[in-house]
Amino acid sequence: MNKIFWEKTKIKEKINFTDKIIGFWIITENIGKNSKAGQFIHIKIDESNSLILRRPFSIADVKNNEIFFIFRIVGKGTSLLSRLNKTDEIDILGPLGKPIEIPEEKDILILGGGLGIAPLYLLSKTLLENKKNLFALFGAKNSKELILKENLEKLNFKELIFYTEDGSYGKKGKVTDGISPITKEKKFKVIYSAGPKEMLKKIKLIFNKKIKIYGFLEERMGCGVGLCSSCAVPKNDKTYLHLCENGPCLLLNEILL
Amino acid sequence: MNLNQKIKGINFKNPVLLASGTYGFGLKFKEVINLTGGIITKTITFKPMIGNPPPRIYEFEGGIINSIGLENPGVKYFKNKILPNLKNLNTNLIVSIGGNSVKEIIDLIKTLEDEIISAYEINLSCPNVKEGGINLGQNPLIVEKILKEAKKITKKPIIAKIPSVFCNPIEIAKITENNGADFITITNTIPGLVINIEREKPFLGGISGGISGPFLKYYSLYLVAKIRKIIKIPVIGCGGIRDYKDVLEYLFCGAMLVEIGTLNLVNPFIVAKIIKDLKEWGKERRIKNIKKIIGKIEIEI
Repeated sequence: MNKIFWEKTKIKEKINFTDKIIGFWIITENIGKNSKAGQFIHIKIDESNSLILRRPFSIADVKNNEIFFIFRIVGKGTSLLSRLNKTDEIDILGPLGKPIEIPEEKDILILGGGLGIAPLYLLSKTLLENKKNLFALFGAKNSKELILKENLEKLNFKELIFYTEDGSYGKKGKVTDGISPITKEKKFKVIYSAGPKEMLKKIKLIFNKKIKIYGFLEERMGCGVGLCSSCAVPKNDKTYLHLCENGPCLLLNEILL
Repeated sequence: MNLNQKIKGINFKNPVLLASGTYGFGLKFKEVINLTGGIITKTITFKPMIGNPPPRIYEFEGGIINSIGLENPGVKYFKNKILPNLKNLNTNLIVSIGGNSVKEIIDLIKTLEDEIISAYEINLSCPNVKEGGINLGQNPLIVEKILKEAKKITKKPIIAKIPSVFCNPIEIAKITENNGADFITITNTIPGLVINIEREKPFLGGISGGISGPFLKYYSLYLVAKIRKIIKIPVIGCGGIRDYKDVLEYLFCGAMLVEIGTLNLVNPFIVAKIIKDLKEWGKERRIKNIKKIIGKIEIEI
């Protein structure tokens, strides 16, 4: 098991992508240094115990001991979290989850929708460091919600295409619209994806079963460290995986979505 | 304050135990486990159980509701693959056992009997399985039979984790004592239901779940105070502990040991702080031995 740390971290920078999408750079002691692509942090948002459980967030980027994560305000927890500012403290457990394994294949397709772009940013950087050829499609509702686009443009993708549903940045449409054109030119054996469940379902339907499709999943989580078995994800054989331990990036071919 | 107690032949370095289902099988965070009085494993059943469909957990202000459904790899796997990795634990290993029938529970103990286990905790009260679980514990005749049969085949101490609703917990407690239980744990989660109004169906995949967390402390504490007056065997208090002050409340009411559950899901390291704070508290008040505070408050209820 990878070493897990419990730390009171400090917010270094707050980035408001939109009114509802916020990113935090936080300063950690050991968590940042030990974090790898595919992992997450588990945040105790409310010390008063009105929200008992922690909330998991994918790691979008790491710089030495600093971690970047992005979230959308969807409920009470994320709403409280969004009110924090620079120098405020955040109680986190991490790094959690299984780091991605570097695939043997050279050419990899990356498909990210909405907030799913966040974990794929660190993942892309990691795969590029491992000399992989990345072909990427990223999409969101509109230009503002297309997070990290400037950062992604600086990475050395073989191909990088953006989609927005309103056409305000890149091509008009969804990431899944771009799959057919890109796979006509090139055949992929490995895909990494993250985004809404509907998008992952569609991706799974489009590709041949022999192609390895990895996807970042979400599930209600308890401990986040493999003790409670709350975050069950059904496999094709009707048994369960635990997202916090086996994921959050799982081989979708094995999963019932 | 000396937190050490020897109870029924078992040495507990402090009164804080890790509750079943909240700390896995003892394979992770061993350095934390070793600081506690013992770990109670996730409940093992004779055959493997895959558990309930998701969602398995729901949160509300004051607690959580879980519906894991006793997911576990079964006793053979536990004995062959997990137990060998627990031999180096430097504290008590208490194995939680459950089943759908008296026979299953007895077969389970027979399978495990030779191993390095300090005690068994019989889960008479899991609300998250369709058969067995809480239904076994609610039936006084079955409780009697399980304990009688179990005592015949094991010399290890038996802890009975009793249900506290849909039965008379006082009656069940007495029955467990009369039939040889060495300890009694009060209490397990209590059954609960959540409805997803958008989808017009139960929220939890397993339909109902077990409610635990801070809210449960008040009911559990009441039961501990009441039951420990009626029975002589040691009581283990369980429910809603958040800090050392909650531990003290249980000890004052007569619990000799406590179990920490839901809190482990929030922070797997926090139990170490609770034990440290407990020691500090005793030191500040110059209390030499934990025995001085157990049952210190006389409560007539």
